[in-house]
Amino acid sequence: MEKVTVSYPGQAVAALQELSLRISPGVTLVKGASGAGKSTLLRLLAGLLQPAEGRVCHPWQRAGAAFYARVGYLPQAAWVDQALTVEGGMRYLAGTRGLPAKVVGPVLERWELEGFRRQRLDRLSGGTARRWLLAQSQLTNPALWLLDEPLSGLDAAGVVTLKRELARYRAAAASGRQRYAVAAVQDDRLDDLAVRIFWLDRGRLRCWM
Amino acid sequence: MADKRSPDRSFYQDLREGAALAGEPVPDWDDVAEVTALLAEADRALVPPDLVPDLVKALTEEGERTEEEPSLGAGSLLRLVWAEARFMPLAFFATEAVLLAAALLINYVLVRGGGFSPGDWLVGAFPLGPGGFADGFTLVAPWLGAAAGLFSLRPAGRGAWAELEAVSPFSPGVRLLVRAALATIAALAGTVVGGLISQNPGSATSATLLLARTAPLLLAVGWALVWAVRFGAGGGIAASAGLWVVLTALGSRLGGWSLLFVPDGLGQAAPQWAALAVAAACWAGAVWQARRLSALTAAGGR
Repeated sequence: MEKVTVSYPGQAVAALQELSLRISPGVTLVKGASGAGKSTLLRLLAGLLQPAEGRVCHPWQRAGAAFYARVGYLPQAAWVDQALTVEGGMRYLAGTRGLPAKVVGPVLERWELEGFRRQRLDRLSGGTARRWLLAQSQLTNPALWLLDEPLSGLDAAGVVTLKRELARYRAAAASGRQRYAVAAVQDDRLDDLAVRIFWLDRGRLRCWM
Repeated sequence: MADKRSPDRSFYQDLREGAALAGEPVPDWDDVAEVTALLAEADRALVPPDLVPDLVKALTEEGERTEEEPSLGAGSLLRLVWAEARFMPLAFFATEAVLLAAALLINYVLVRGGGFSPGDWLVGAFPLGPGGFADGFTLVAPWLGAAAGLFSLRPAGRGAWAELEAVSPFSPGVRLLVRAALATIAALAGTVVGGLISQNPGSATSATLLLARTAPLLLAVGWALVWAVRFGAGGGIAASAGLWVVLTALGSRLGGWSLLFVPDGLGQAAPQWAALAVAAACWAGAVWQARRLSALTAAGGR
């Protein structure tokens, strides 16, 4: 990411200002106060935003279809306003990503959502809804896994699964594979898994370690 | 037999001469012997015979993994179509069913009503032109089309869900086209089936009736799409309402040029052919504009 600036319409201050950083394989954490630009950074990496200035490069040269087939994205939202069932919503999203329905079962199992298959998404408890959101972000078995506040509202079982999945990314990266997990977080519960931590402050990179 | 740990005499001599030429101190024989011994040890450290094949294999595998580009073939597109068809909202089908029931009722009244004119209860005068006649399915076609167009854009404004849908290998234009096509097919199928079970007023051929019913429907879908993509659901609804007012309230002044007028034959269906051309342009415009659609506009905020 080179000198990236992102501005939202109607906002005087850019959400990201000439931000340059390089993300390594493994687990990367992005920290900062509310409004620091963490979510914007993740949306940018997810391809949901285009920078007004600067450029974002991915390890995969071709944009478009091949890129999105590698991305998994967890939005910051606590739940989804959908009348679809847990399984139906997952099947629908799998279809919109061109994936076969068979990918849904293992993901539900991994995130311990099998018992909720027939429950409506808009009636799930907060913790279960977050687990569902995390689960859908893994439908593509993403090489670039983007997590916006993954711990927020997540129940204990979800935290365990999340840490286990992040550890897989770290291990894969250690073995030389191009697997990236980038999480925007506020606390230090995932610090032990991180290969790098960036701190943002009002859209600028303050420091990293 | 020479000791491998001892340097060769000529090698030592070369070192001495080289040092003298460079103006450096002459190396000590014992130091040179020690370095030579270390090098000999390093030579004896065996390179595993399978090291190179293993490295080649690992690099090849990693290369394959890196270059493994997920492709979107016909199978992926079919999965998208199936997902959109399977999870089409029930509210859409309910809306279409109500409109088709209204079309059936209008045709029943037109055939059995004996002189009843829908113009009595539609906005303004119903566009009955000379030699033409009214048809319930033609009358509701703009509504059917508007519903299909607006339901095709249903995720807009749904925040997180819109973002989840946007993280897709298919472009917004492709997804919109698939969804609109499915909704239109459903509306057309309902129109055809309804026409088969309805007593049709007038004496137009099946082809003329089909054209008269299809043209305003497709125009309404495209019209709703192109405005909704640009100005959101509210814009689509307002534009659809405007189209309906023009077609009905002002339609009577157009006489035989009214789109809601069923012509006697395909040769006299100039408004319908023109509507199809405008519909095609609207569809193309909507798909082109759909590139602008992003989760950001739906989600908003930071």
